[in-house]
Amino acid sequence: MSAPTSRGAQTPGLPAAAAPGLLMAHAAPDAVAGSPAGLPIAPKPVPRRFQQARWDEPIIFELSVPGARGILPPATEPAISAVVGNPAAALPAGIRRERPAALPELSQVHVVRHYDRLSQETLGVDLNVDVGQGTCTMKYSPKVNDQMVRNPRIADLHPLQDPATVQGVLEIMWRLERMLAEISGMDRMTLQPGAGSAAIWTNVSMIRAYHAARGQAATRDEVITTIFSHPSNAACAKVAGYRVITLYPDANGYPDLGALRAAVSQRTAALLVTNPEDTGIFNPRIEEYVRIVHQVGGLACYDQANANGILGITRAGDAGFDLCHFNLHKTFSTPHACGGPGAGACGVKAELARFLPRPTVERAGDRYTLDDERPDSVGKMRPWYGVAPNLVRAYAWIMSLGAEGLREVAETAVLNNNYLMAKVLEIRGVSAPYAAGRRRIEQVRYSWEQLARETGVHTDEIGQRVVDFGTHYWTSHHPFVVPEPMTLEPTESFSRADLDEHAAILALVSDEAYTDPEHVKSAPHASTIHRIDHAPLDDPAAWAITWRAYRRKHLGGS
Amino acid sequence: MTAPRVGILVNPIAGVGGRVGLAGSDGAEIVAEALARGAVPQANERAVGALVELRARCAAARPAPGEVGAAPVLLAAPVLLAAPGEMGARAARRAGFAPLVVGTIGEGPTTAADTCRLAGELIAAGIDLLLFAGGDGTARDICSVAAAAEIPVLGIPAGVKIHSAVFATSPAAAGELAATFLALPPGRRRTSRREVLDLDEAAYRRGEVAPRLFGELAVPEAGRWLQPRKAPSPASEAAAAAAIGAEVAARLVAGTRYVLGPGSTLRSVAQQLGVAKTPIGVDIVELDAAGRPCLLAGDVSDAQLASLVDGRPARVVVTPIGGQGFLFGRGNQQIGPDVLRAILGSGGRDAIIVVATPAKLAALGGRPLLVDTGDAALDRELAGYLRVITGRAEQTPYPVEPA
Repeated sequence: MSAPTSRGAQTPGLPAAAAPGLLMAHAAPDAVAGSPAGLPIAPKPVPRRFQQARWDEPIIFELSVPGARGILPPATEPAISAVVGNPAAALPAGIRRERPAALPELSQVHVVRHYDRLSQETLGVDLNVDVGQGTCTMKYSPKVNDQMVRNPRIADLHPLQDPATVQGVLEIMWRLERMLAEISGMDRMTLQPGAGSAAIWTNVSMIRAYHAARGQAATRDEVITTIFSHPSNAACAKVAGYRVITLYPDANGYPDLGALRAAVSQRTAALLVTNPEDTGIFNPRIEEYVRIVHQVGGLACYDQANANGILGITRAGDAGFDLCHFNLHKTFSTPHACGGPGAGACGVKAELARFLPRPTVERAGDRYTLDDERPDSVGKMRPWYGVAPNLVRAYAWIMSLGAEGLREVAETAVLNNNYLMAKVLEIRGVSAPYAAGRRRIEQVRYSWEQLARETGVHTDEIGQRVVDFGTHYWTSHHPFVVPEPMTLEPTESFSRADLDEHAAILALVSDEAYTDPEHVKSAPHASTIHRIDHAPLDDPAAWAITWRAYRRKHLGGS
Repeated sequence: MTAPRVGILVNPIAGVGGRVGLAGSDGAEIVAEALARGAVPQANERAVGALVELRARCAAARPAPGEVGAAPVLLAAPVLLAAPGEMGARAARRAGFAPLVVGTIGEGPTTAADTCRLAGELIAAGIDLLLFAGGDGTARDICSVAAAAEIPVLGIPAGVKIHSAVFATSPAAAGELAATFLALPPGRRRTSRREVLDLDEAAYRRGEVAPRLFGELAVPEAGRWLQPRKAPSPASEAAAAAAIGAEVAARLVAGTRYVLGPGSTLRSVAQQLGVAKTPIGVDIVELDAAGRPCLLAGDVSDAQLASLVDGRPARVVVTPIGGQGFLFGRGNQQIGPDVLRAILGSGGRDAIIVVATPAKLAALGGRPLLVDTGDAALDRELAGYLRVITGRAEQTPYPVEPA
């Protein structure tokens, strides 16, 4: 690992710890030295020359060789067999397999080779300048926090242990809850949800329970959200049986306040909103939105998926919100883990605490207990108490930074974003719709509309070209309200040189679009990925999320 | 793959009326007047622009090196079938194609009859896509021939009036979309049905804007190969429209008459209701004694509509028509101001049920929905927010303004 600068100031009372790789906005750019001619190693060009592996690797099931084994356990000794007999016979019939599971059969080296090959065909925050996965808050997760999780005192715990024997991890949970409550301005938290969407679902469940407790479950059947909020808000509300009212942006990019006024009524259960939204625009009048919803008896719920730019600066509780949630794998540096398990944390004001999932972690004197006797609770969101390793990682990360360090994370993320925005807006054909001339918080939803109009090259094609330089970007959720979108979120983890590199790649691809559009349109040329037709993914007859389904639908198998 | 076959048809005098203030180019006298006023026809220029783009895309398209499971790219230059002379072949040659010329035209100015006849002959000759350069009037002529044949059609905007939703945004965009569409094997080319509107130019010159819906054409969809997928897939437009239909179906109550406006979204709604909607007409649906939706009357006139909703609870279900976000006054004039007042009287603003897919709302780019009922006071009354149904249990309060 290189030796980045760490400027995380520590708060008195919180322990100081090294936080490698966290805050690097002001590290000196890695200037490409002008090497004298004749050196054996030529200077590196910018952007870098890149060629990703393309293994053309089969699915692991296709690699299966009947009888192949990774491990050959020793045969059971005859004396043991004589005593035990056939252990499978002791299993209840209902859980006994008639045929072995159809698992792939491979030797060890083939398994290792398969997954190492796949790992060469990915990008990620440990591999590339990963500022392109906007809204996902891709930050570097210090490896020391993984060391803590691998410690047997965490790794070997079992959720069925008596609480008296797991006081340490319960204390971590209790302290993490208190810290997140302080950060968000809420009274109580739950750390049980296994991801951001699970946390939103938890909040929607508590909203439903709140209105049910007041006898209004049937009459409050509408949830309001915004088109630039995370779509999980709409999805969770819908799963809970609510009608979803979606606000579109006004000319400034804020959720249309007139539309909110038109939307609220005695049927309003809650407003679920992100701030800043996925445009990176912070809504300074958010208290007014909260007030309008409160006036009709609805609850206000803050999706803090985009909290990375506001840590220590604004708080959901102070703006009047009744509930909120964090994605610990975004803002608090636990791994995204390719879709899970992550960790979500929900915060509520005191009057909603009785609806929190059970059990809760409570402190009595210097002892920590699990309280499962909570009659008004919405129940369990996940087995046991949540994803404990991620809670430990988040706790370690916060403790390594302290309060001032968290604020510095936010300030650095915002600084990085506005630096990158200044660079990107110099590129031909790109714009940042809404709020012209105003700064953004921690991300920007850009538009390549002008470039598309002038060159016929579209944002997905630009995205396929930038992977030829070892990076990528994400467009936007659907529908594309911002035309030809690109969403960049440079967190605090990237140096100025990193941001310059990413902007230089975008600038180069823009130039290509104007001079040789077909080269962009036929990309990627140096990457693992290729172009795919998405139609089968929208077609129930064609889609297959398991090998069994693929065989059944496409190979005529059973 | 065999070379795709593209028909090109140019209405050479499309658009001549616009620049000299004649609000259209329908009819020989207007054309003569426009030319006398010094108008220079632009349609051929516009067609050349589109064809140059199409040809460039085909010539340059190539498989990426080492491509595995690649998106198809157009390797074979399309065979161009062109109407004769200034109605296609000339533009095709100027764009560098060697067209197969189909049909004949006589001396003198071309007419709508030429457009209709040649469109029919191009389709009969076997084409994968018909490109035409013109305006709403040309689209209407093409529609009279091509709609029944289900041939994909794409308009190169060259006319004065562009209310129809069958045109690309520019000639270059038309060429690009055509190339993208043709690059796919025939089984994977996707089209959506888009409205053809045209207004009565004589009325328009008197200051009356009243475009009518004449039909629908199958227009190539601008499908893109790879949307980076973080969110679950965007539902296709067809799935989104079906979800809207399910929502409307769930809202029907006995004893109320439902006026269904035109438009493909409304046809999806009718499909969910299990009623056979007339293609471009305004229809009335109600629940029968068994609670099943049934068609009470199809393709009704303004007067019929007024008598059918008079004095009983009624709702109107409409979708923005054409490319400009009109709720009333474009393509659905049968739903006149008197009918709307009666419906508002029976159920307030909630009696106006607006449906639109999320993509359709997003395509408005923040512009409001427009109303032009022919009654300015009613237009002002309709202004404000209406709840647009965008899916099952999904709505958006969206601003409505007088046009």
